Amino acid sequence: VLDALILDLQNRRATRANDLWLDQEGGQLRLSGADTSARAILRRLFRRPYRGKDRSYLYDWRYVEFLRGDPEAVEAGARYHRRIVHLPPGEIAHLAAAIPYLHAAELLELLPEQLAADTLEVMSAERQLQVFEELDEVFAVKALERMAPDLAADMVGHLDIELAQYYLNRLPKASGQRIVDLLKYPANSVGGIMTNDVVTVPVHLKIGTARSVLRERLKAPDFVYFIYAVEDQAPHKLRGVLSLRQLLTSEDDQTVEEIMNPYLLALSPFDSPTEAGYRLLNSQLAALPVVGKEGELLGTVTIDDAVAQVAPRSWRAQAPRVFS
Amino acid sequence: LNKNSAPQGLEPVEELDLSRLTSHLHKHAASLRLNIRGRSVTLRRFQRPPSGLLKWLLILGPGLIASSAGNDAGGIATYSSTGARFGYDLIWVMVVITISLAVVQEMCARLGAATGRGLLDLIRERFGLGWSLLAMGILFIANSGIVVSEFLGIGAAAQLFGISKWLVVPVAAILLWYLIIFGSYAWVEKIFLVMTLVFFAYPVAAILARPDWGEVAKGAFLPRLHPDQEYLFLLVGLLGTTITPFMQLFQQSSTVERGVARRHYGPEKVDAYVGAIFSNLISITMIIATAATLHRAGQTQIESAADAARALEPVAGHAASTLFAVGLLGASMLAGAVLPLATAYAVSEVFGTPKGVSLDFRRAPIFFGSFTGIIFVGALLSLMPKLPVIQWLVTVQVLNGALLPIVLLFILRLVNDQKLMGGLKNTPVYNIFGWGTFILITVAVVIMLGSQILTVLGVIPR
Repeated sequence: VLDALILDLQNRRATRANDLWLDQEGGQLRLSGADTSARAILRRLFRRPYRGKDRSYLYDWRYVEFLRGDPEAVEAGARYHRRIVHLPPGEIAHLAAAIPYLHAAELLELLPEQLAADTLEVMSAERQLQVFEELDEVFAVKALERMAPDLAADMVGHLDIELAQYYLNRLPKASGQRIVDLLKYPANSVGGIMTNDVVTVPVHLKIGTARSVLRERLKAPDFVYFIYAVEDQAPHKLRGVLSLRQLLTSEDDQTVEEIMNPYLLALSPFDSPTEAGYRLLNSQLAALPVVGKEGELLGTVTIDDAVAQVAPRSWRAQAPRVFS
Repeated sequence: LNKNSAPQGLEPVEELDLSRLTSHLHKHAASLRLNIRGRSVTLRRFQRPPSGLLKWLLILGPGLIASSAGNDAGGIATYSSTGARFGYDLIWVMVVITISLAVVQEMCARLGAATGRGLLDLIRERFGLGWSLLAMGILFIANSGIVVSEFLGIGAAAQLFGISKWLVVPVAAILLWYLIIFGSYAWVEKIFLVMTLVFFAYPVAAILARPDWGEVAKGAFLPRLHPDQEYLFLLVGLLGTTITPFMQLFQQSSTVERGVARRHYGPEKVDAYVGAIFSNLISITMIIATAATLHRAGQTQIESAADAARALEPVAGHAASTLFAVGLLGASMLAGAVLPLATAYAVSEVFGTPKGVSLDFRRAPIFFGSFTGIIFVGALLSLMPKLPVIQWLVTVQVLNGALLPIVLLFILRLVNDQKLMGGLKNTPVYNIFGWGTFILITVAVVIMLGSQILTVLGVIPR
């Protein structure tokens, strides 16, 4: 551990164990702290003992995660503190960007699958690929399944084709199909930036029923601001849109059709994404639906996708993902 | 994908429904058919990886930059001095170390891809604090010396243009510092690279100078030894300037920064090979061109950049010094940026502090502090009055050569570490070349140092 790379979770940074503090406990030595300061280096160089009572720059070992630089160490049963799971995904992704990619893959495997998926979503495209390819296959499938379909498609679209096919064939049917549907569109099209994880409700439903039907669906942590009203029968033509607020505030016995907004601004999947981005920003809406040839709902372009199309490249990398 | 090379489960798409595509999408929409759950699906999202010449051009990067930066002020001074003093007699060294350079650079790129970490980072973790501080000290001394050389080169180029170095050197230092810290460096780097293309004038000059090609071939393949201290001195200088420690650092760090993962490493090695061969071919023609002009004319000492520029006279005539100055400026600026960066990476890796050009002073004080320090101290030292320019340049390269075995030892130990490298561990052939290089350089350095010491002690007459 001495001289190795460690994650200091109290300060949320990757650093180096310049010195270690061992406590004696019943004839055994127990690692209880790591010193990451430059003083520790000087102390070791001049072979001085640790003096003074000030232990403020000693970090409690329980809040330190020691990574071995080997993703397989996780399955092999190496011991970890796993306190990292209490950090938000953005912070974990930030840490993962500051360490070598094998360490980052190891870090990701320490996380529960949903958190790993959320963390993968916010990583930069390059780091995402490096890390994903190093993950254990079973774990990778589970993480991919839990990612937002548009972000998963972004990532799969960059994988080697054989590898992409391998994973797409191993995903559960529903989530695999959502990703495949998105992969049908070229990257430089509206279809290439939209998400198809949308909430729909049949037009003729009563609001009260709609509310109870949607309750389960709304538990998923995805972007839900608009609910799209579609026809009961295939091809499930898009008929209108209602906001979550409308759904909550309307009377139970009204139908969806009565309160929805039928005047829709819709995009076509092969439109230019930049133009779509400007249209969405100009409309001052949070999302625009994307419809196919027969008026069927294919997905939505959300405001963060639109901003990503319009904003300068340097800004995109730092933009938080707010809506999906 | 064509039918013959398509992987299993993929077949080319014969007909595409493009009716709904807007015009600009027609060109880009590459599609392929993938077999998913037994159904064939047409996907347009995948970008076909570039193939043919473009694929190989895209791979060229760190290796080419590191090697081009190797033909810097110190390099030109050493190659020119060699050509002027010994004619074609030392070309064999260049032939031998082209292979060495390619192998060493490739090993570093491989280390970077297999571990995702820089050289000093690995040394610290594998060999501990003491060794990593030693390695850092060595690199710091060697690199600082070269940074001074680069600013000397910039100053010399300025004087060839007829501008005062007192003006140009500080401006160049501030410019380099600003460009790297405030981010438009990636773009500027290409300009410096293009400027070094001027050195293509050397092959042309070498041909136009009508050297005796028979002699050149003899010099290249039949080692001709001189019982002469200067011969040894220049030999170590050639080793030091061609296989410079900073090039290994840079190659590894930038392979890591480019995000090359171990699964995709295969084709990347071409970059290291092409860079090494390309830059050494230019170096060899520098020696030939100088030998065929200055050495033949009886001038065996090079005192200034203006002397060295005369080797380009067969191709450029009176414009030789201007042409030389452009190349010297480009190469020195390129190396003047690469070197402080590589050093800053090394220092922060040893201390385990954040590093990277994308951060800022507040988040990475050690990285930016050492980067800034080395640039400005280097520029300042280069302005010292009465510094014997060419001697300094050559001596720094000799120092680099003398320190090289230590760095190589670390690299060779690391690249043979099964736990670290996995499937990318050194093969026996690489080890033969790697250890061969190590032995060659160590022997040369020991003999040179030994003879220097014996001279000082008065055992060998001066």
